[in-house]
Amino acid sequence: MTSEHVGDDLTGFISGNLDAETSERIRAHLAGCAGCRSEFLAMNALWESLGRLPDEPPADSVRARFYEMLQTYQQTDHRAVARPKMPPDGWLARLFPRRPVFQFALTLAAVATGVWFGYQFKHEHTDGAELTQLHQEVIGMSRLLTMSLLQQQSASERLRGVSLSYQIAEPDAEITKVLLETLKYDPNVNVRLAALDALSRNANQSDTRRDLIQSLHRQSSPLVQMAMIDLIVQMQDKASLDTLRRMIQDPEVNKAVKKRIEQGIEQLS
Amino acid sequence: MLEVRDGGLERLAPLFERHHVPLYNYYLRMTRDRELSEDMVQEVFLRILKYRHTFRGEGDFTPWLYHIARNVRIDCAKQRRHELTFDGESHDNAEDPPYRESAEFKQSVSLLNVALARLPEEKREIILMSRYQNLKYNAIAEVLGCSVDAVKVRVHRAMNELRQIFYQLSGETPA
Repeated sequence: MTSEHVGDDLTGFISGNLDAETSERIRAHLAGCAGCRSEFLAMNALWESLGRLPDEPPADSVRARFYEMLQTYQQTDHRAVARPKMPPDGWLARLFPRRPVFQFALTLAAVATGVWFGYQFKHEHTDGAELTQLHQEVIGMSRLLTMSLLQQQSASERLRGVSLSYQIAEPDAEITKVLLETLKYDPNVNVRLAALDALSRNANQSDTRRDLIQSLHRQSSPLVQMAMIDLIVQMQDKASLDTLRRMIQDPEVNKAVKKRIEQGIEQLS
Repeated sequence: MLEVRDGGLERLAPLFERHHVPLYNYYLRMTRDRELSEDMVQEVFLRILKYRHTFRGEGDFTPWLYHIARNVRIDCAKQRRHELTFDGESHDNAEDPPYRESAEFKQSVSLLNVALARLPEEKREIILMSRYQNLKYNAIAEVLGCSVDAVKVRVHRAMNELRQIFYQLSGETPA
């Protein structure tokens, strides 16, 4: 067996799981060993073929059930705000006294310091305008952070950006615009879906609704298209009927999407 | 996940958005059962909430997720006494849209799906983890509770067996 030359390392080499030195050794071996090269080509072809097997999107009900479960859990689980019962570790643990009497003393000192600072703060900063300004600054920071995260390379960072947009009570035009851009052009389906969920808060605004309807046909993912159709139907936007009817005639549109459109048109008509 | 553990339950939403499709496909390729796969995805995220305090934050979230996912699958198999093999049919049913139109592509996809389904469960699982869940060998070792060297050997053997089955199905001769 020629595979003994490279042996069990072959798949690890193809999948990029080996260290640089071993990979280099295998590469050099493959250059000079026709048998191992043939083995490599066959295995690599299979590995690539596996990568081309399409993923199937789960039913929309999976997402709905998850959010329902999360909401129920948040409402019923009072421990949600509790800190984890994990032992402290690292440098902080070394600073914390081990004997209960010192722990008690430390707690008392912390409480006393807090009371003193609170007293000082109450007397020095009672200006309501200052608090309002502070509040505005916090909102501004959330807004900036949202915009910045939505521009990140990493899909998970962009998802964080979308989630953060929920913390802004009334998203302004700029945030809405960035979310719409994300919905239209983000390469990741999950990010686009999350952006759509975030935009559903502004669905009562006619501009947002119009942009949503216009971008529906351009969406590449059937999953996102179906979620958009659901939202449009939920908004009861009859202005979308023309667009929906045009999409049904388009042979390029996915069959499942067409089915959803038909149901949507029935509900809107 | 650290934020979820520390009480920010809403932070589970981005994790769900990121992981639920790959997770669903992991289950679908293991069980060939859509409904069961959807239920198991739900159960995984419920267990994440229930056992979030056990996430130590020392490693990545993904291996921890698949550790839970694997336990859910094993528990479901026990509960439902569900035989997790299938007859070699593709999981696409007549009502679903085709993913690709070409007959050649569909045949190749179908053969690979059948070949994967004919692999013993533990071999199929390790290939799925490595190829589709993009878990590195050290992460798979963490999930399966074995050494990295053992993972390396097991993935390679599983791939060899898959290749043999695929060649048998397609009528080709192994290189």
